[in-house]
Amino acid sequence: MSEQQTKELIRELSAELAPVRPIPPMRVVLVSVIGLWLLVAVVGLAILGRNPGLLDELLNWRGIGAVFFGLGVAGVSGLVAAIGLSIPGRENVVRAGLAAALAGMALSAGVGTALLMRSPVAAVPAPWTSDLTCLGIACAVALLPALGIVWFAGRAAPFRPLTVTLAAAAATTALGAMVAQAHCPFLDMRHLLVAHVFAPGVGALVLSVPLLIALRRVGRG
Amino acid sequence: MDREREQDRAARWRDWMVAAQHGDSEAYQRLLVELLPFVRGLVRGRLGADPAVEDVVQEVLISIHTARHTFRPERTLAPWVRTIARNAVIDHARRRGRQLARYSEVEAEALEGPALELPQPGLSPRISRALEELPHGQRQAVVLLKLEGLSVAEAAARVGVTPGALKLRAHRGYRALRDLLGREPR
Repeated sequence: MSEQQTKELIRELSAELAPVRPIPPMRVVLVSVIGLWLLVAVVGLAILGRNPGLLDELLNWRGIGAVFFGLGVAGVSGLVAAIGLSIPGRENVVRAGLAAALAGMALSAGVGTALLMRSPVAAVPAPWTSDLTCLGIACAVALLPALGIVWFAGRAAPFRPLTVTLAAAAATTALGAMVAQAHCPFLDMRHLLVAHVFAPGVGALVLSVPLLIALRRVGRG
Repeated sequence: MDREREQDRAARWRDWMVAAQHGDSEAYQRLLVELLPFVRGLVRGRLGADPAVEDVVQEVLISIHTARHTFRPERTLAPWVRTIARNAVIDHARRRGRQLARYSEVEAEALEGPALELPQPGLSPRISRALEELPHGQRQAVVLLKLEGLSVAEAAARVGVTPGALKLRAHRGYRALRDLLGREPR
């Protein structure tokens, strides 16, 4: 195609220009998604009940506090990355978000593994059904905030939609795992590692494709 | 001095884009005209002397148009445009990879037989010439099925014939291509 055709294209694009509303600032989207998560977390814990020993565990078991903190860092940083992936020119934010999310996951996984090695047998072992319950809670809590990100991405410009939904699913499931931990009564390090620390990976596997389908629908609508 | 010019340019581009978001087509045209050498430079920097540079430049302009709502006024335009250009180049490379695979498939079908050599990647001038010599219906069938990658049903619907008729045309097309390539000096 010739340079002349490019000039004609510019004239055509200018002629068909219509006013548009800019997307909201990234921080507004981030705060909104965290707000959705908090809402689901509060409602969820009100329905499921909170582990009465949570505060005690967080204060007395520093390892569990570190796992909790790592999941929080992974969740919030992952949200930043997932949102930034839909906005051209925000690669630095995406890179920083992904790096911080990986660091958060590494902290959780590292401390979780160390705790398991120190006390491999729990006083009250968690049954395997509780693994499924906690993973289910993490994914369920993740759904609404993840859909919030998908809704935003559908209105922005995601270059790699699957990467957006993978990041959104993993990040929101990390936040969901914090809710699962706040509810979970088991002080079993195997369960902590499998059902809480690994939850973002499970969430990414389970939720990313349905979210991708939703993203395609939102994008078309 | 350069830094001042850079800042002036950034402010000008931002103002024009904000005006364009409000529907000011004059500001938008000025912006696109001024962005053009910048975009061309970015694309050339990645594609070199590729003849598709101008195609990709046009794709970048269209992407800028469709994604203009994702620009925030508090940010600078150049990194935003740079990302869009980079994504367009990546898309172009992916498409080209898929096309090369399809072209190789056509050559394989056209050149099949023990006496003929294995296909080369890319559609060679020999194949292009041979394709041009085919009757219109046969050429259309080969192009739709093998170069555009449509299914038989899709291609038949596009041409307006039955799937059976389209398959027949394609089969005759492949045979004619083989004959043409077999008698042509390499």
